[in-house]
Amino acid sequence: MFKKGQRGVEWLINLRWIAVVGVLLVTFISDKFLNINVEHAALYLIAIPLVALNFVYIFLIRRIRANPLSKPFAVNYLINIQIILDIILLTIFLHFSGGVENPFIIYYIFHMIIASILLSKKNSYFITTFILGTVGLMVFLEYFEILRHYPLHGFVDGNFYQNPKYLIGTGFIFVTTSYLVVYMTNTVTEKLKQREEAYKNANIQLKEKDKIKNEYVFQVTHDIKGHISTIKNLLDAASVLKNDEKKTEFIRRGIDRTTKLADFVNELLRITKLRLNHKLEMAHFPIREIIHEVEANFKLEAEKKNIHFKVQLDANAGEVFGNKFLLEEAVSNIVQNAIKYTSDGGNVELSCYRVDNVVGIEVSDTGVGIPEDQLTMVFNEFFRADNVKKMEKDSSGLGLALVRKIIQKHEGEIKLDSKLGEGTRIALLIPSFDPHKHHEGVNLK
Amino acid sequence: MKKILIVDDSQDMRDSLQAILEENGFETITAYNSESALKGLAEGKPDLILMDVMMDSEQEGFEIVNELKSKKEYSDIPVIIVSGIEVFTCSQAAAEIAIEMRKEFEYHNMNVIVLKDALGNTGIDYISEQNGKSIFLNVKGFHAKPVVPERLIDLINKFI
Repeated sequence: MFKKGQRGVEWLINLRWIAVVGVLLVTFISDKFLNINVEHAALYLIAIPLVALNFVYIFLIRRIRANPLSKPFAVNYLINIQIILDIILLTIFLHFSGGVENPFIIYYIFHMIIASILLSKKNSYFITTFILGTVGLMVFLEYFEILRHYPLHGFVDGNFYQNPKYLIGTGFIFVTTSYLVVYMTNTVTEKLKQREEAYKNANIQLKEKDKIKNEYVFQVTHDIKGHISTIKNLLDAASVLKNDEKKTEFIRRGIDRTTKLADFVNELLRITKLRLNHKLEMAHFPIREIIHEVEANFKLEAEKKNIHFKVQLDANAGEVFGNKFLLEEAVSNIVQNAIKYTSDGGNVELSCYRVDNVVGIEVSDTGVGIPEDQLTMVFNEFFRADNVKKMEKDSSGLGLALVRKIIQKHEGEIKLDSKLGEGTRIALLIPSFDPHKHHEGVNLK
Repeated sequence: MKKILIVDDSQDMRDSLQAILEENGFETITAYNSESALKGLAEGKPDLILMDVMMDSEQEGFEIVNELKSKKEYSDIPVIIVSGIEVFTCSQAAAEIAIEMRKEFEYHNMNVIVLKDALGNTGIDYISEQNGKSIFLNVKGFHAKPVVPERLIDLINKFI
């Protein structure tokens, strides 16, 4: 705002140089070519205060700019002073060249427009009223011959300055035009200001998003680098080891790490793809298909850990509408976490039910649980709760983020309930299939 | 045989560093966090420590070194930081400017500054996550992961 005001002052100063040239030129032409009989000397003299004041303004704006403690209202004062002095000088100019009879009286409009652009609404109405008052005073003083009238002989003949009908008519038009101009200019300026503000806000938001994206890239790169460093060192070790058995072991560990890295990159790609791709192939299918599939896939893993894996499927669970592979992946991720973070002998239960038009898939376990202060963060990308970080070093922190993205794509909801040391319950709630609402192949956002 | 303590939370890292160092004629002991590091130190003073940074907490390695430097019996053990964290490296002469610079918002990611002097000595200045204060660590070197075995061995041989 402050900077804009300073530019406004400079703009006025530049306009004033043009005005000086204009005054001299118009006076010269009317004197030498048009033979209009007015006080040319007085008109030429008007240029002197205009030039002098312009130098003063230049000096003042330089001082304001050089002083870091300058207040924005200093610039506002300067603009007001300039406009008011210009109005007075223009009035003097008109007084010596026919007063109300001089068509240049229309030039006050410029001051009104400039005030509307550079100053507040209230301030621009004040300037306009000041102009009308000044002009009114000049007309009044000339009408009653308190001030001498300098007629524009050879241009306007006839004493319009003392013709009440002419004065009232012209006055009415001048006053209404003035206020309308100020009103319109203010409206346009305000709209421009609003738009500018909107652009500024959009820009700030973009910058914020860019920052988040950069941090994301940083995190991904860091994680990938961690895996690569380890793989490299495992292979370095394998290459220097003389014992064949040990050599093979390090190579095998290098391969394991490479698999982990590949899995991480795959998960990352899947999340990115989900984010970029607004189109998902959707179809309706019975939810039990997913439950059976997941049950079959994790039975063995649970048995290995001696975990009691129970599956409960309501007969009326019915159908859902969505992408089967993605939904299965979401359920698998949750069951896998449940088994991973439940100790030997614990319980994991997968249940599926339907309430009205919502199908719920619930996974509960008697595992380590999630610290209460971190409950809201577990679905964030790369987030890993403190307690599981200690249990498993190299997990990606992407699994639950992927689940969230998938459920979002299905316009579903996730409910999370957990107690540290006692267990976790996660419910995925998905709208059930509705033939009126869901159509094969529909794109979801 | 010179003894080296390896502190790193990744078992793969520990084991491979151990294998590399042992093949190069060093004796090694390992630790995976501050507790086990102190335990390892109590069992016999090593000639040098290789220290990771991000373990159970983000700055655990720095905190361990800080603690060791304050203890008379361990303060003289040379420490080399081996980590994948992002650092800003500059000369000792530019240290003041760098430390001043990171107070500005644009450089707030410059948390860890590795300072090197003309003789190749190294120090680390980092902003503590606990209290936001700038802490100086007198360490012998900083080796960025992934470890390059020959270079790390050269660095170790400089000090023991």
